[in-house]
Amino acid sequence: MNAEIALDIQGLSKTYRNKRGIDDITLQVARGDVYGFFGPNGAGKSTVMKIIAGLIKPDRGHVRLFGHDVGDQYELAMSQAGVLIEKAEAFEYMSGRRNLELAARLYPGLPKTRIDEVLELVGLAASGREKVGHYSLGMKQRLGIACALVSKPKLLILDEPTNGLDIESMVEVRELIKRLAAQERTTFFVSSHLISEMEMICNRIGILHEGKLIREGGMAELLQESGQSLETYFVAQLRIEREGARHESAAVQYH
Amino acid sequence: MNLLLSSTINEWTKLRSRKKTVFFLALIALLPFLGLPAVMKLQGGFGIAAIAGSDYPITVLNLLASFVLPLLIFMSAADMFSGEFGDKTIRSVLARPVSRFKIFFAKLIAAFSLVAAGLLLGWISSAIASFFLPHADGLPRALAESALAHAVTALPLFAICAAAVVVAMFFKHASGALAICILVYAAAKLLGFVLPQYAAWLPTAYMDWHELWIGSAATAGRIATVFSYLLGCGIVLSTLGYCAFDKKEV
Repeated sequence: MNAEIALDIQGLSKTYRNKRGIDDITLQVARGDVYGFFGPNGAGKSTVMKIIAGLIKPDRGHVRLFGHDVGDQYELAMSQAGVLIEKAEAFEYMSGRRNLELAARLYPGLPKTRIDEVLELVGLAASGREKVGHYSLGMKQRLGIACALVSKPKLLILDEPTNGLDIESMVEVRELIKRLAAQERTTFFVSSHLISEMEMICNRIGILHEGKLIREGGMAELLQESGQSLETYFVAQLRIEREGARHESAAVQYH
Repeated sequence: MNLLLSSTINEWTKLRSRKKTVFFLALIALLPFLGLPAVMKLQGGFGIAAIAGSDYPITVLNLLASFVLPLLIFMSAADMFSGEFGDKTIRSVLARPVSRFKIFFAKLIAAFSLVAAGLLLGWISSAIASFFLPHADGLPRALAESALAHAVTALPLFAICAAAVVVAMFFKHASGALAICILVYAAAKLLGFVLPQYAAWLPTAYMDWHELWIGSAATAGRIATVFSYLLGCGIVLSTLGYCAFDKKEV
């Protein structure tokens, strides 16, 4: 068990009834990394995120958080992680503060001031007592981030965290990620289909395409490889993938 | 254990934050008083005590156990299980350092504690209301008996609660789960009239089993048999519900 590895994914596969899913994903996220999990819509990012959070079970493979297996030691594995999957889903008939209280109650020893801290952090201090049903989409997303942050997790798993946010809030979330990574050495595993966003906040990146991890590496390394931007690099990688698939299919037909 | 308790408090908090829960609890508290004018009119019409004050809490209990509390159970089970999976709020519950086993039983305990609160409220309210009716001697004894009757009614309601959870696990929306729970319950009740020999196999046939406790006709053996049956039903159905909950992906 390597204490410096925050997230360890080994041979993760999951196939849905419609034959889509993920295939043999293996990656590691070191402590303090801001790991960008990039891929177009439908690439399988949320599937990986959901397996990490224990919301769905994989067909094969395993996930370890700080050395604890999500399948066998769920409580231990999740005790140091905060999660936001897809759009934030809060209980709309309760206030934002009450939603945070529900989350905070599951972490013994958390100071009572923590709820005020996170409300302040995500800019919801003034509307904390309002019912979530009255929140805008952006406010709900910020509440989701607050719920993920409330336990002061060492690892934050954020699936498309800037979804539904206006430009100002997107910048704020990016700044928050950078700040927490730098000051508190919080590890991030962030998914997005916006490559420019990944470029701005991540130091490592994994590129997912049609359920497969096609490339993984340090951001600086990939940018150097691409020569231009990550966007150009991604398009080039896709072409290589498609070309390879075409050759394989032609070879099968020939035989 | 602490996480189970914290999760139960969370589930209870969610339940009591819903307006319909508050409405139902208010209805349970007011029902004995709302029924008083009708009972008094009945008394006047017959010129005799049709329902004595000492019997009133049991009369109210029969109404609560057969209609109001099952409806409260179905509504809570539909919201806590199908509803949370349907609107995906269950994700914010599951993606926490609490096992699904604890989350499931926290929900079940919270739903059952709501029923217990309804029974307690119903007893207190009907006991107070009974003072407005003419009563023979021995009211304290009648109130003690009615307290026992309310307490033992919790068992068949626990079995109904577990059954409602199993049904709710098959639905993605609370409204569908609620409608089917009501239909299944109504069908089971109807079976009691049409084919009573088969209905005896269903927990719905024992909603009035408190009569065994307060009457003198039933033997201890009969009480033990029904008790074991209802407890067994509750345990088996809870286990089935947990298995479905554990496998559910969201």
